[in-house]
Amino acid sequence: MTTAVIDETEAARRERLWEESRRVQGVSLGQDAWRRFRRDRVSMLSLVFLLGMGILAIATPLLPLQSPRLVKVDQKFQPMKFRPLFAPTAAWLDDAGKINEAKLDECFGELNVVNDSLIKLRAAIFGRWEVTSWLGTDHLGRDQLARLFWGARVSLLVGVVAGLVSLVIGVSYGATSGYIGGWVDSAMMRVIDVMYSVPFIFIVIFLITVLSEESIKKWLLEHGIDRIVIFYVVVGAIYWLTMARVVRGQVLSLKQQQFIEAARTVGCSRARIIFVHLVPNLLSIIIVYLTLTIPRVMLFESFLSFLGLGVEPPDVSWGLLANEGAKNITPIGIVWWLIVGPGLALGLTCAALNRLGDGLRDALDPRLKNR
Amino acid sequence: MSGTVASPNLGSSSSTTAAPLLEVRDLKVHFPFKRGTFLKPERGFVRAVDGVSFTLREGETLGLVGESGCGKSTTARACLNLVKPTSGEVLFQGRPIHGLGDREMLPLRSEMQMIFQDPFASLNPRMTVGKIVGEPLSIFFGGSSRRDRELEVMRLLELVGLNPRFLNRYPHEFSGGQRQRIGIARALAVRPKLIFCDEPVSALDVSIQAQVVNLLEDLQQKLGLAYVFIAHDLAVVRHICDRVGVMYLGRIVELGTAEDIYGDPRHPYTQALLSAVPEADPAAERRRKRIVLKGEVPSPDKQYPGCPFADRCPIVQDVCKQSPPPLVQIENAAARHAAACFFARDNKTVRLL
Ligand SMILES: Nc1ncnc2c1ncn2[C@@H]1O[C@H](COP(=O)(O)OP(=O)(O)OP(=O)(O)O)[C@@H](O)[C@H]1O
Ligand code: SF4
Ligand SMILES: [Mg+2]
Repeated sequence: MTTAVIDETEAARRERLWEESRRVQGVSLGQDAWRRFRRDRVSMLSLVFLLGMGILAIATPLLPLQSPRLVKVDQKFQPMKFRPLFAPTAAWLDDAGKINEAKLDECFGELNVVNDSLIKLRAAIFGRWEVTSWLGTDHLGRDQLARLFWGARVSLLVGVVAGLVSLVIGVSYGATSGYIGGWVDSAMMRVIDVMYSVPFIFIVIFLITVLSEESIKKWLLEHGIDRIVIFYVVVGAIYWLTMARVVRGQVLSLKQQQFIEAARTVGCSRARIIFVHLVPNLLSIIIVYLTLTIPRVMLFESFLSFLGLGVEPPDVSWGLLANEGAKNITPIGIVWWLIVGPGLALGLTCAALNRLGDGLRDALDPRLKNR
Repeated sequence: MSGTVASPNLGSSSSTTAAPLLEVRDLKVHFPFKRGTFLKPERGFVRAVDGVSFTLREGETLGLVGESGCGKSTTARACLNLVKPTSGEVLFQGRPIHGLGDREMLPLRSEMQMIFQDPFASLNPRMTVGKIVGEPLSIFFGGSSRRDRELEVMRLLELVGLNPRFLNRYPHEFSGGQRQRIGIARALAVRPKLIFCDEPVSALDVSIQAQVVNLLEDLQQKLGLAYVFIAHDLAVVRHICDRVGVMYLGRIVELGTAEDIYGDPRHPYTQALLSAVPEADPAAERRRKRIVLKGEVPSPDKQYPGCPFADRCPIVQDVCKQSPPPLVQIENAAARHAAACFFARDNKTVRLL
């Protein structure tokens, strides 16, 4: 045994140590935070809820839901009803289980490759069976449950994409401004101040109204630009302002830390310092802030859809559903199931995101918790 | 005045090599500040470094000693171009480095490195030890594979007395002394000729201080490094330094070989600092008298017309408040011993009270 160790060449010894080092993995701050986070019941619940929601939204075409668009005037304003639970009523499949393309288009609109294959898979699994109108129907007899699910896809996607757009712009801008400092910083921050004072809601409303004009819309569609894409960009481009400020403030204090000076001493470039040394240390605040931006974006989308400026029928989103529900509040009666569904979905999602943000902040920065 | 004004390359007069490793000439670093009320703003400069000159030969160790806030770290940072000097020159192997941009500075970064004061704040908490120490390797020897880099990092970790298996651990999983060793390994990674050690042990436990100082000495012998060793008391630097510069308020007030500074200090401030160092010999320790400095700790944002030490000096005279004493050779002392005091030549007695 001893001789073997002595005989071992230097190179072999290093190889052995290297192999051994793979087994001594340290616990990063992130892993440590995750451990703390897991103990926080409510936050975990929020996370599970949101993940479940996300998965369901992605898997919507696979689920045996009715069409969110198919108009059945004879069945308008059906209340919630759970019996029977399922019925073999899918109109876009014939008795032999073959897909009727024209009908499919009518039921789900144009589908991309992924959704198309998901639908086909669904046809193979469930055949013509689909759930009945558990949550009732709207004024055109469309199934409310299906509309909630398809609406979730749009609402969540808007939140996530616009949130990420704001994150990328805000973090890059804020970190650069804070790290360079001096007059560059002052100039960059003045730009933000100016942008803050712009009434964006009106600009967005104006912009979307202009873009909704028939000839412009047609031109945009010919070039493959959907209104929703414009929406992502516009909303993302508004909501980065606060993110940039928050990140800059953090960078200002972080760049005084000695490890940044140490990084300069070993020859790191500016970009490397910003993106390798500063940003990872901002991750906690970025994630927390993202969980607060997403609900704001989602609410903004609902607000615009509510005004009739967001998602266009026959597409659906939660805001649009709430809008339709509200329209059916009449002196004669309230079709309550049309309001509760989208309202609850939106409210719960935003609450879960906020709670998640709180939980993440506590887990990522345990010092703040007991203040 | 009875001394001769010290030449800028004071200290390397006996050296025959062409250019010293590092030469600092009349370095000044002033930070502007604004304070006071909006209506009555007060503007001025913090004179963090106010005319420092020294030279350093290859393989030599120069100690920089002075109380907190006297500009030791700022001197080191200016030498590494981490902060822009207000005036003065820094020459590395005869090449001026002041005013170089980041890109032009890059080759010099592999020659000069720094060990930082705070072992907790100087390591990025999100990076593993392997990444921290490997970063300079990937910057300077970019082409190497990740595995080669990790093997080299492990060699460095062994060199500084750390377990090389801990490559994938994070800084917060190490003790203060171990963290300082990680900082040392990072500084060694690019194989520098000169390392600024900025109070590398003052944040550490006394028992660990000696270990780290010994490690630095070993490395110096093995690798032929030159050190600028910064400390706030004279006790720490005694064994490791060839020469010592005592700093006060952004200036070097006494500069000489370690023997001169410890055996024959001439500036009253040096003498006060020395009187605070405990003696190893119990008899001497009993005889030791502390010189307690009176007066408030001076502030670097004021400008003093005379000797900056005048307010606290035990032997202050009228002449001291009129013009600042230059750093001059002490005539009848050994060569290369200089002090900035009008009475340095006669001032032998204070220490021997
Ligand atoms: N970036 C800065 N801006 C303004 N003032 C500064 C800056 N850096 C340092 N100073 C000031 O310069 C003076 C010298 O600071 P420096 O860090 O060099 O002291 P030091 O000798 O290293 O002290 P310590 O032993 O506490 O580390 C201090 O008064 C400090 O307040
Ligand atoms: S010059 Fe005067 S005040 Fe300054 S140290 Fe010498 S004796 Fe003291
Ligand atoms: Mg310091």
